[in-house]
Amino acid sequence: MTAATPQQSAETSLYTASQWQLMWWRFSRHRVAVVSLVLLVFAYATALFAEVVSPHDPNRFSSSWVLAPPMRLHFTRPDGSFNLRPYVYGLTSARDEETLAMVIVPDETQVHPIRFWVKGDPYTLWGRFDSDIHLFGIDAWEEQPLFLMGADDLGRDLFSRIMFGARISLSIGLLGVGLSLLFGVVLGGISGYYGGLIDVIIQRIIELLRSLPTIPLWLTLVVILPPHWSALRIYFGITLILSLIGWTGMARVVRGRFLALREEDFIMAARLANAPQMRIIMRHMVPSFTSHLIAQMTLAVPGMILGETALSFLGLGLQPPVVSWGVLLQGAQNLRSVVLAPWLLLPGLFVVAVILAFNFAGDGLRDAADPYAI
Amino acid sequence: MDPGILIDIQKLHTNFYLREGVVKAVNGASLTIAKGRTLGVVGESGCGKSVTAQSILQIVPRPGRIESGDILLHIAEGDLDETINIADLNPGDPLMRDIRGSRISMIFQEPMTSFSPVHTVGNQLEETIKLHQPDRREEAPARVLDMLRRVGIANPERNVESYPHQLSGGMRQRAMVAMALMLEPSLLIADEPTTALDVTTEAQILALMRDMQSQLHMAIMFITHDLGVIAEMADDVAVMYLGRVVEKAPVRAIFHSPKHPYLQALLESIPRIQKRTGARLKAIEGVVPNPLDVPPGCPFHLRCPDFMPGVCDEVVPTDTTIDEGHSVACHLYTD
Amino acid sequence: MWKFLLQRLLLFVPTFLVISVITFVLIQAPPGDYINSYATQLEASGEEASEALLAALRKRYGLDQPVYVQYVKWLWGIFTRLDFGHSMQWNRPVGDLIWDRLAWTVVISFFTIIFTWILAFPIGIYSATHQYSGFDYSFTFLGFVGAGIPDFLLALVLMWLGFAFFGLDMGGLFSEAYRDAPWSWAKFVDMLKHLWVPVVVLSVSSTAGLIRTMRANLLDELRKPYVITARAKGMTEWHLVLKYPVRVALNPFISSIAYVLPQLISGTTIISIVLSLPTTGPIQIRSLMSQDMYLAGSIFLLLASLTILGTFISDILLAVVDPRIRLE
Repeated sequence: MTAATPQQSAETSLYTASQWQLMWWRFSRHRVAVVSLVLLVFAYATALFAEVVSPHDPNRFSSSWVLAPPMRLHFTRPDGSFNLRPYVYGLTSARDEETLAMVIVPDETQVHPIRFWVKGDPYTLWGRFDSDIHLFGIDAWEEQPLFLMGADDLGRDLFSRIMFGARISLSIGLLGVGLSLLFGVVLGGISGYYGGLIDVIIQRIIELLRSLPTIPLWLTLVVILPPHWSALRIYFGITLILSLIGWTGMARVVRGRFLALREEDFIMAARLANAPQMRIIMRHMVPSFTSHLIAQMTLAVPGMILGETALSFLGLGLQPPVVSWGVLLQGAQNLRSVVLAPWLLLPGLFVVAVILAFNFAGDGLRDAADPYAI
Repeated sequence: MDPGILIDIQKLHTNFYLREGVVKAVNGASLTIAKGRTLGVVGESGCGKSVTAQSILQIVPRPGRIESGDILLHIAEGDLDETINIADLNPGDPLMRDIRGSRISMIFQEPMTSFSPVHTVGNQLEETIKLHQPDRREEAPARVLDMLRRVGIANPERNVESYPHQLSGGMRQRAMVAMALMLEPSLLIADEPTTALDVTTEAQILALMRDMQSQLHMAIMFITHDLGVIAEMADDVAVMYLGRVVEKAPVRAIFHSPKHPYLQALLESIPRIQKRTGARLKAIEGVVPNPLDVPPGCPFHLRCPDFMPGVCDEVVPTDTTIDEGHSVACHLYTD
Repeated sequence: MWKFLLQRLLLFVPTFLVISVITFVLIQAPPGDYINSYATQLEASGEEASEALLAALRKRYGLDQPVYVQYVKWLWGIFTRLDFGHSMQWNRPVGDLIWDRLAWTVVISFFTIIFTWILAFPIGIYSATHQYSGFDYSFTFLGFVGAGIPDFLLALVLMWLGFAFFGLDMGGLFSEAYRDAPWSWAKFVDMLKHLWVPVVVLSVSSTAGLIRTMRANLLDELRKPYVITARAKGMTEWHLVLKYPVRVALNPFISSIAYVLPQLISGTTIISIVLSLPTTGPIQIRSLMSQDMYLAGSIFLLLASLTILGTFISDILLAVVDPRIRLE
């Protein structure tokens, strides 16, 4: 029975593994979820270092580059051979022969290789470190900006703006979920632990909030924010409004788990051992549903990001000069500008990618959090 | 084939293909069910008794399927005399569907969840007739009423219109029996039919089954883990352990001269009134092995008090005949 | 069953009242009122806004009265003569402005729910009965993608593709020729030609959700003993799946009206801006921006009532379909 030995040792380690190890093992079986998680870590890291990652100052505008199209990356030299270092062609204005309008077209006589760690617009990282070195860019950045994803209607580099927008859009998701968690755990916990009338009232409020159409509600709420508020306060205000709906989901999970756990033997044992109530909640109940909460939180982030994007897109959320993905999409609000410059839709692609990643990762976590799943 | 035999199962293997490996739920089981008699199949949970029953009807749930072996069904009706090997049929085969519900029917442990909650009892009972005798569908309501009356359901006219949740547990199991017997099958498989019921109701249902058996002359395959019920119901008994039948005998021999160490241990573990007080009840040593990793040789050798090294853990024992109709699969009895 | 329905109906009234209070508080909350923003407008266009004029306007619209008096008057008007107040911006009764817009919101939501069901029902059944098949995997994946795309973005992309490749203008609900024409068969057909765009856009995410619900519920039901009973009776597989588990899994499907409807109404609001549809969305935003409080408030109140009505309808349907609810 030699073959049984490794299996048995695997089995023993399965029995002695901690809850988190088990969860991680189950999670790592979901390949899509793991890839999504890596993608999210990457996205947040990028947002954190937006100044370095973006080749330009997001507010640097120029009338000569209004709605400049995205530059193509070329990997082949003019003679056809492959070149690992990509280069772009510079842009120039020309008159369209048919419509006779001025358009911006690539100029194949100007070749700009893309280099790492080049000098560019000066910036202050996190309000502290001054520098002008960017992760990548082209040498002639002052005369010829690098437009990987085109330029907006003020000639600003869309790629750089998306990087900076990520900072707001991604953080609003996390912050909103954090606030939802706070409300959800407190109210859901009260509801589930005490039960009775207070439970009925909280459940009715949750039902009512969930039955309201979110966007009309958010719109009505957003108008309350005083227009003279600073951008930072508006940001927090909007986050608060978004989490006003978000907490109901958390509260349901917490309440449901509390109700189930109240009946469990180990809680009864703790109670019989005369453990203080707070200790029972914090030491015994909360740890046993933390994993469920994490999964639920991951699944709640997309709703927050979508909410901010939708509100800002409608012009009632964050306002320029603040840059978020929703604010950027405002530029694509009407058909005319989209037809003229389809790349203005690109921030939407980032929204979709991040939302998908959160959904896949959250789904994997939810499966992994189920202790009876194996 | 012996004309008195209805079902003859030979070396049946039914496997479940899981991600973690293959579970050999039925691992070479052989048994026979005689016409008009009751075969009790007894064993711990997970020993493969339910899967054997499901194999007879070809309703083994996915990812399980019959791997090999024979399940011979003997049909003798008037001029008709033929033998069908059910194990060779596809689960979706029309012939198999003909057999299910008409020649062989089954009742289950949970009378509540075994009925659809959103259809009336009458609707679910009539269905059997409509499926198998579509040309006689007009008679269905009357026959359902008649059968409900026969199984002792009071006020059948009102109860056909009820939904399962409106009936009591005992009534539901009676309705279940009625549904199974609607077409007077030659075999009724009862998979722990009384486990979910209280003792009084259990006695009533058992009495009902014996009564219906004498009226309809059908065979019953009675699956249970309760030796007391076996003593009451069975004519013959098959004892299963880890997917194999370890002992087959008439019911008296099972209780009076058990041969297999597993069966002996099982009988010792039953509390008895006449035994002197203070003695500890015996339990079988060890636990049932992981079904993913069945030990070689005799499946019971890890827990057996009479374990013979070099024999029991290497060679799978074959059936040894002890007496007329009494056989055991154990190395202690091979010469 | 009647008791159950009456109970549900009685719950509707207090819910409506609570929502109306919330609505009124919300639209009163922003600092200033319509007269302030009107004065700003006047000043911007160079006219003088005298205090006397503003005071007269306030008096006329009842804005000088205490908030609770305004609320009671508003609610009284709604209950007695369906009068939702006066839109100060349009200088017309709110009712005139919103009824047909609300009707369009309802029509679009209705068609979307029907369309969603038609898609989600068979796909959900097939996915559950063929779990882990290629089809199941692709629809699970598509479901994730569908749920991840914001509907307004989808509307934009669709509009852009339609224009860039087919030269179509997919906005609006009618072609130029029929916009002001009286109702006729031709106008109806023209409407259907335009209606599919918002319906498809809105149904993507709700279909994704419903397929998941249907699949999960059906998988649960397929493991129930009554399925084995039916199989042991000799039913064919598709016959038994359709008769039993699908029938039981219908319940969560019907309750989905209750949570899909708010989602649809929410989605209609935003895609109406992109697709320039004559629903409540565009005027709600405009009224909120100009603090046209009765208009903004009435729209929100009616939209919220619609979703609560949806819950009520799904309760009725559930009682019809499920004897366990009906007979309790």
